[in-house]
Amino acid sequence: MGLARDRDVISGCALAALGVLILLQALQWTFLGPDGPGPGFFPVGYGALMVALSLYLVITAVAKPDPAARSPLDWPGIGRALTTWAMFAGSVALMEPLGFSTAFGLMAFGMVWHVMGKPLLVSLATAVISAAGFWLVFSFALGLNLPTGNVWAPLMRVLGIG
Amino acid sequence: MDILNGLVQGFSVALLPINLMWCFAGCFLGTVVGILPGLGPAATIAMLMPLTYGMNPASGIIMLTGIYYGAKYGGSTTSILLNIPGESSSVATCLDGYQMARNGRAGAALGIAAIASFIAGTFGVLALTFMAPPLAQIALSFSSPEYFALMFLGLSLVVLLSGASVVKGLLSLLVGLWLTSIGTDLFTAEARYVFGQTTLLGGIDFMVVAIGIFALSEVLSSIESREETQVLPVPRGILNLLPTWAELKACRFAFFNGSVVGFFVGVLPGAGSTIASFISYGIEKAVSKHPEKFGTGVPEGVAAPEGANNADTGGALVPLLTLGLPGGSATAIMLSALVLWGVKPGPLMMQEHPDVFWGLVASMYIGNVMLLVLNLPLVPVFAQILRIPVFVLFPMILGIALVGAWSASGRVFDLALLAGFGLLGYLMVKFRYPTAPLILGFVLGDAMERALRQTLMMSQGDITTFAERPIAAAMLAVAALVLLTPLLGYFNRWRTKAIEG
Repeated sequence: MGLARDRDVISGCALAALGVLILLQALQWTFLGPDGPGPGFFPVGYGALMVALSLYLVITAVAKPDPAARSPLDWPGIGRALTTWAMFAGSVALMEPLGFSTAFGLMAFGMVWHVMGKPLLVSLATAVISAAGFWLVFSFALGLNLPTGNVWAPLMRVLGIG
Repeated sequence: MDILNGLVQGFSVALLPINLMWCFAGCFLGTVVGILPGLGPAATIAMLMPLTYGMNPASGIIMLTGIYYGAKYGGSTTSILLNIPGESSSVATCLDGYQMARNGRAGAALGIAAIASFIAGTFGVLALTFMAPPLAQIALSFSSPEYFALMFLGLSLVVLLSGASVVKGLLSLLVGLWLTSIGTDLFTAEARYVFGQTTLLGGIDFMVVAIGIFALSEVLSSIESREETQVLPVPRGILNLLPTWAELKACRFAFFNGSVVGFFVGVLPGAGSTIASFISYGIEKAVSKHPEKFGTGVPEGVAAPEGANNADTGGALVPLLTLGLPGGSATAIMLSALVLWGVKPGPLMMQEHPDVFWGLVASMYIGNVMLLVLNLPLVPVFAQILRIPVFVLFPMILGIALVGAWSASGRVFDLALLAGFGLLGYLMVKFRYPTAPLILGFVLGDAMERALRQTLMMSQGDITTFAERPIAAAMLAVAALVLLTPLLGYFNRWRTKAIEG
């Protein structure tokens, strides 16, 4: 259990796996050709170094654990951060179907209401005002082509603005 | 004489109304960003960079650099009024600045910070003006082996000084080198690490990595810590912001110490203004007649770190502009911006783009004056920014991050990558990996690989060619020493102390 909680062990194992992946791919490319080093030359170098260093990190973490790497984590705080990230990722997924303003507005509402615990009305107002502000500044004033959303296209055609 | 001619040309560029406006915009934005905890200059420059694509290079770099040094002026405000540094480079200012504010001398502390920033910032630009041309002249003799050795040395210093663990710094750098390899090979056009995604053939956009690693992860970390703050009152009126004659007299060595230490530490890649400010604070305390009073609110404890923090800017621009070698995250982003505008920083920049080089240098003299004028009378106004509720601020930052990444490429795929890099940046903070080596590895990886492969092509695979070229050999030897430093107990203790500070 102690090792599983050691962040150096976890990150070291993940980076060792990445290093192996880098090496396996790089070994399929030319390392040294008649014209000099090939596309595999540099990646083999840093891939091998990555495997070696990450294994060194894991071994030293097991042999001489760093107390800071096992210090207690603020799980409620991490939960808030990861929920925010999930909302951000969700807004990216909704960007094409719903467009920037709606996807961003939903994310802002979720963050303010769920993550920061503000009242429903405050959350709604923040989301609507900030989404409108972004549209005004970037789309209207600066002429940036932000995604408009596939689902609104028929409606915009009907209204004659699409 | 060449320098004076260059400066005259620079002022003729920097004093154009449009460039004065961008200089002011950069300094203003930088001050705001410096005041706002949770948003650093690197993140801001990364997010706003796409909006500068349409500008001419001189105007664009004048604005982005204004954000860079303006943030250092603004960073002291939160340190003094909240005991929370707006930027990591303002941590040392908290020690005495906040104590001065608690003793009822908030105005004087803010005034000393602004004056020290102005004096040292101007010293840094003066030193940049006179050091850059001879250094560029030396660098003109560099070829691929020297450039590879120089980048290797620079990255070694970044790894050494970026975090307590050199192994983690190196791993972070290697991930950056891998990320920059993704796409089409420079020499053979072979696809590398694209995993069947044709969208990755052109490589990963730098903006996506920079905004994800800095802006997103900074917001996530701030949301995790959920800090509640109480701002100490700022006295209104410029007279209340002016320090007394006795306080200024006490700071006279600190102004000099901060200027010199800040500039020379700034020249070193990876060292950065945080280390400069702590070294300067340490020197000030060591030479003081009353070291026991440091930490209780002495003015020189504010002047020295704030000066060093600002003189560092001029220092950091020396390797960037003359060698094309960024020493930190913000300068790495500025390097990418210059390349995007078709300006290649390096020894030829002064000859090929004198308007950009000298225009930038001249704008920094003007920017420092603008910042002094902005920061002295307007500090009470800027302090109001701290009252913006985080529930408004954080969604706005995420929205700007989305717009910044979208305007760089206009692809939803890049927004998905942005989310991925945001998570990576947050996890790096949680797992205590420094992010600066990753960004620098990403920025320099291509050039480093190209220089290494060209060197080995020229020498037909003979690696001893590095030993035959004295400058390259010397730089590689210093880099090896730098990487071996952590094995020497005394130096490692000094290094760890400096970084933890």
